[in-house]
Amino acid sequence: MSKPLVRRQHPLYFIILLVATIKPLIIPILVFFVFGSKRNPFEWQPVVYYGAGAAAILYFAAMVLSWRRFTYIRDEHQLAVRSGILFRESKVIHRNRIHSVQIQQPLIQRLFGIAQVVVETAGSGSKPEAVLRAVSLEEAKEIQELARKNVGAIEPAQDEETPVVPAEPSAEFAERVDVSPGTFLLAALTTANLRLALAFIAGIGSFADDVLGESFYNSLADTALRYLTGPYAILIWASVALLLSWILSIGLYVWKYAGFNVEVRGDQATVSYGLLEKRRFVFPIGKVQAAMFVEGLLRRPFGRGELRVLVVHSDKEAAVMLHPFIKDTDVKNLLSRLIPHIEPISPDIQPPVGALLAFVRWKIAIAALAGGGAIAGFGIAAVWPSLLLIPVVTWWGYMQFKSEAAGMEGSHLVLRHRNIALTTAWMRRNHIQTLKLTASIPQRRKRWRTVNAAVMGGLRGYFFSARLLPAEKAEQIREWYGRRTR
Amino acid sequence: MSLDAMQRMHPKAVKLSMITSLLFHAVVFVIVLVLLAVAQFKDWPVWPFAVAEAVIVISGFIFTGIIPRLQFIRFAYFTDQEEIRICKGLWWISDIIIPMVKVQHVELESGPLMRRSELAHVTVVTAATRHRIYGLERADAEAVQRRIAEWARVREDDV
Repeated sequence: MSKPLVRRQHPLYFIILLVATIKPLIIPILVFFVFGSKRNPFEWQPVVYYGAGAAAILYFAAMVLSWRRFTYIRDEHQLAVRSGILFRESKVIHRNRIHSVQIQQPLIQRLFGIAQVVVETAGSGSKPEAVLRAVSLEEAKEIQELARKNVGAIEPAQDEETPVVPAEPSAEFAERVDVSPGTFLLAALTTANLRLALAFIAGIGSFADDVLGESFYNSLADTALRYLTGPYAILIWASVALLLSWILSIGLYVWKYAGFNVEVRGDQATVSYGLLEKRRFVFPIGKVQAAMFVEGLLRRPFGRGELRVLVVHSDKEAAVMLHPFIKDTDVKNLLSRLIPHIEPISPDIQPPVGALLAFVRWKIAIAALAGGGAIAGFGIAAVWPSLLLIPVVTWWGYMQFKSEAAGMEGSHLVLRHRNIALTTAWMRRNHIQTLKLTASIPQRRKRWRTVNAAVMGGLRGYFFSARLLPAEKAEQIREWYGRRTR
Repeated sequence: MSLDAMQRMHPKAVKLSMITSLLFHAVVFVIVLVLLAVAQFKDWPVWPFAVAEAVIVISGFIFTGIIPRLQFIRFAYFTDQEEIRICKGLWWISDIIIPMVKVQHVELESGPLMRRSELAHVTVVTAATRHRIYGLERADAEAVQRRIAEWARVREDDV
C-alpha cells in the first residue's frame, strides 16, 4: 500500500484566520486608538504593551500550530481529518456517509481565489462535520468529487434491506389525502400546546411588567386580589391563563396547518400546509424512517390523534405531519396506502403489574408535598384542591403504566410511551440506528428495563422509548435487533 | 454476554481520572482557601467559605475515591464485525447496541493529560447518536478506530 498523501490547508489560511479574528475586534481597536491617543499614550504602563506583544506572539504561534495540526488525507473512499492543538481530534468520514460538500467563497476567500469547504454528514446535526477554511479551488472540487461519486447511492441508514416502494412507480399512481374543514376545526380546537401556554403566560407576565409599567400591573393585581383571594384565586388565574393560551394555540394551529394536504405520486410524497406562509415537504417514500401516532389529552376522547413520519431530509422539521386528526382505527389503512413499508403492528409487551408503584409513587409524594405546602400557606381553604391533586396524579401515573408497551413482528418494531400525550411509534429494524436498554440499580434488581430506540428524523436523532418492561422481553427485543444472520 | 467477556477501559484511565479530579479539587480548594483568608482579613463573613470548603472536600472524595472506580466497574465495550456494544452508567445503567452498518464514522479524542499517559477516547458516530468508548490506550484506540472503520466500510460494500 502506498503511503497516503497528507495534505494541509492553503497557506493563505493565516490571512483568513487573521481577518476572521480581527473583524469583531475592529471597533474596539478603533476605539482604543481614537480615545487612547487623546490621553497621552505614553502614560500607558509598559506592561500593557508587553502584554499585547506576548498575546500577539502566542496567538501567532497558536495559528501556526493549528495550521500544522490540521491535516487531512483524502482518497477515493474517505476523508480523514486530524486537528486540534491541545484537545486533538481525528475523524474518518467515509464517502458514503457524506451528506453534502459545499464549496463556499466568503469575501476574503474570494479575494484570494481560494475556497472554504464545508462537509456535512447525517449525524453531525447543525454543526458541519468538517470545515476546511482555506483550500485552492481545484482541491475544493476534488473534495467535492468524493461526495459526487456518491450520487445515486442511497442515503445513510437505508443501507440494508431496501424499503419497498409502492407497487406502481408510474406518475399515474396518485394518492391524495385532504382534511375536511370540520375535521380540521376539531383538530384546531383540541390542540393542547402546553409549551406554548407556558411561554404565553411568561410572555404576558413580562409584557405587563415592561410595557404597562409596574403601577398599572400592581393596581390591576390589587383590584383583582381584592375580589379574589386564597387558593381559589390561583385556580381561577390559572384557568384564565390556560383559556387565553388555548385560544392563542388555536390561532397558531390554523396559521400553521390550514390547507393541509398530502399527495403521493409514484414514490414521491408531497405534504403542504400553511395559511399565508406555505410550507411544502417533498420526500421519497423510501426515506421514511418511522411513523408516530400522537394522541393528545384532548384528542384521545375522540379516538383521534396526529400521525407524523420521520424522514431523512435537511429541514428543521424533524417529524413531518401526515394527518393532523386521524381516527386510531384509520391509521393502519392510511399507512398501508401511503407508506407501505411501515406496518402499524400492535404492541404486546407491557410493564409487569409490580411496576405500577414505580409510576405513581414519586408523583404522589410530590403532590403530597405540594399540597402540604399549600395547606400550610393558605390554611384550611387549600385542603380540597390539594386533596384533589393526589387522585389526579395517581390517575396520571396509572395511565402511564397502562400506556407503556412494545412489540415486534418480522422486521417491525412498535414502542408506546406516555408523558401526557400518548405516542405510539412504528419503525423497521433497518431504520433503527441504535438500541439502548436502561435501568436504574433498583430497577435492575426488579428486572425491569426501559427500551430506547434512536431513529433519524431530519438530520438528527429522534428517540422513542417504552418504560419498565420485563427484562426477559426487553432482552428479546435486543436479540431481535442485534446479531442476526443475513 | 456477560460483562467479563467484554473489554474494559485501561486501568491507567481510572488513575488518570482520579488525578484529574484531585487536581481540579485541589486547585478549587486552594482558591477558596485564599478567599477565606481574605475574608478573615477583611471582616467578611467567613462561614460561606468554610461551607464551600466542606462541600469541595466531600465532592473531591466522591469524584476521586468513588466515581472513577465505579465507572471502571460499570463500563465495558465489545466490538466485532456485526456490532458494537457499550455498557455504562453509575445509577442509570444502560446497554447500547450499535450495528456496524449504522456507524457513520469514528473519532479519536484526547486531552493534554490523556496524551501524557498515552490514552484516548474513541467516539462512534451514527446518523442519530454519538457514543464514547472511554480511556483506551492510544495504540489500542487507534486499532479500534481502524477496525471499526474497516468493518463499517466492508458491510457497506456488501449491500
